[in-house]
Amino acid sequence: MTGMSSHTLYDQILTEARSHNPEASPDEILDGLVTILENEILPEVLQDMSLPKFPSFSAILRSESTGRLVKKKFEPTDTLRKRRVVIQQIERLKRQLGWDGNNESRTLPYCSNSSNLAVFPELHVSPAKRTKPHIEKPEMPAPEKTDEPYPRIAPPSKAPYQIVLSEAFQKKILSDPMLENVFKNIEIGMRNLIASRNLETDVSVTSLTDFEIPSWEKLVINISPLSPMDFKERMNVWTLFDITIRNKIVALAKDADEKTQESLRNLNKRLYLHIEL
Amino acid sequence: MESNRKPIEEDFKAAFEAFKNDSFGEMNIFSNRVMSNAIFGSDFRIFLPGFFMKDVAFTFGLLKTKQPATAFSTSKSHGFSFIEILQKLLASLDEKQLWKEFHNFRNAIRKFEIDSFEEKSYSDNPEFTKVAFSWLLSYLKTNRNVLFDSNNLLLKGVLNEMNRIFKVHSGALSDTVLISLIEALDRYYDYIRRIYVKPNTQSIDEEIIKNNIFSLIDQIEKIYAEELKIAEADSVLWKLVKGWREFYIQYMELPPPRFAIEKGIVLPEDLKKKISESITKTLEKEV
Repeated sequence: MTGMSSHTLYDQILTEARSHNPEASPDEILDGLVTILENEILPEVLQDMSLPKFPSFSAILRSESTGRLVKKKFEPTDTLRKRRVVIQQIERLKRQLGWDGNNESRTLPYCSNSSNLAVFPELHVSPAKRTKPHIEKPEMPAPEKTDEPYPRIAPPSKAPYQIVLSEAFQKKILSDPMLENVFKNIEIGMRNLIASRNLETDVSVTSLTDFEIPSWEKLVINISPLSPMDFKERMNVWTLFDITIRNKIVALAKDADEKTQESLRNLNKRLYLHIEL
Repeated sequence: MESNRKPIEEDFKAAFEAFKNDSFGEMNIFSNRVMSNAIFGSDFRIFLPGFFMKDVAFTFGLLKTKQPATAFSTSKSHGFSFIEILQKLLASLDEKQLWKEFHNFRNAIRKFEIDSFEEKSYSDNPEFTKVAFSWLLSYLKTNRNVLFDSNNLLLKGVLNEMNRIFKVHSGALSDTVLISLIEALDRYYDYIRRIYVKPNTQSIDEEIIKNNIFSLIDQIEKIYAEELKIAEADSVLWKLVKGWREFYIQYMELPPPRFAIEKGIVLPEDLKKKISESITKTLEKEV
């Protein structure tokens, strides 16, 4: 923490911590400072901090020289990569801290008790300080924190992209455990691809059949980039998705029994990837 | 038709709409309304779909924010299917069927909650789940005096273990019922532990705990030990849910549980502000 190593501030913190807590031992002061940093200061800093937007996929492409091979265009430059890593780390930390600075409850089932969408006071009872329940009214209108089912987990932010499965395809998944398992893996692959390349694209998945020829069946994965891209960029994105998805199927077939391998081969044939051009 | 039937159906519809839109915070609230509105009628069984929907809201809320990425959209197929079944069962309120469907949903969705390492390593082992749950229930009973301490997390700890085991090893319907009962007990107890603290101590009024919580633990233990009787389990679950909704009327929202015991040092606010600014500056330079 470079900012904290400023000699003047460092001295001031220690001096004031000692003078305000004369009975505390050096260890208690150290623990206390860490607690304040973890529970009060850092969550506030992270919550208020507005992060710059990720260098977008298109920006990365534009930033690189035009003479390179298409394949290499997908490699972000070192600087961009470093920035992305820092932003990602801060974002991850924000998520882990749940915006309010407490990360212990991620596995605990804490849900809001509220049945009200409006803002209302919370019950604050600290056993060490108060003996009776006490309702505190916030002075300023508080954000609708209590409306979240798990206020200690990051409020679900609207994802920059969506993967939507058609109703027909959802029903297919529910009736075919093999297909469910395959698509589960494909979806994870697509999400990782979108996240790692910051692709900003929606994906919809539909299952098409012909009433007259019931055996004819097609699984269509439709990619709709959200940001403007030229033809070449779109084709590159299409290639990335195609490789990712087909590789997933091949990887699953490796450890599968013969019957599943056959099903996977059929699925690979029936699977079509479209991108809006 | 009971007067609370239509409002509850509308709460349910709102929760379903929220689910479709990935608004799980709102879905949780609409599910709470189902349970609150169940108080105003005579057929308590109508709280059950609300109780299950709250679980769905929590499950998908977590799946959505889970890192690394999960097959969230694939998993939602199970949510859709389960809610549609719940909607159909609203008319009959067939308790056995409702629980069976909830158990099937939990059993299907747990495979999306585990990570790839767990997926490759663990196998279904309901026998182990039964043994572990019985042990945990007995542990809860033996150590129930810990519940007098307002800082304890015993129920949450037991729940945490149960959820972990069920997630990787699956379980029977009776295990799903047990988790639900402990979860409801924990919500109810969360109010008691904050309201009935003895003056100048961290202890909760022992009589309140003995009369309210201990007897419920005994009932839950009996339900789990014997052959599952859904009506009996529902009756205890309703007692807990009703008590919890009434506490909500009296005290409204509780703050999230605090896990660290409040103890520390005092630091002037202006100094904290200075530290904040210094950290912010440093971080901003990096990005």
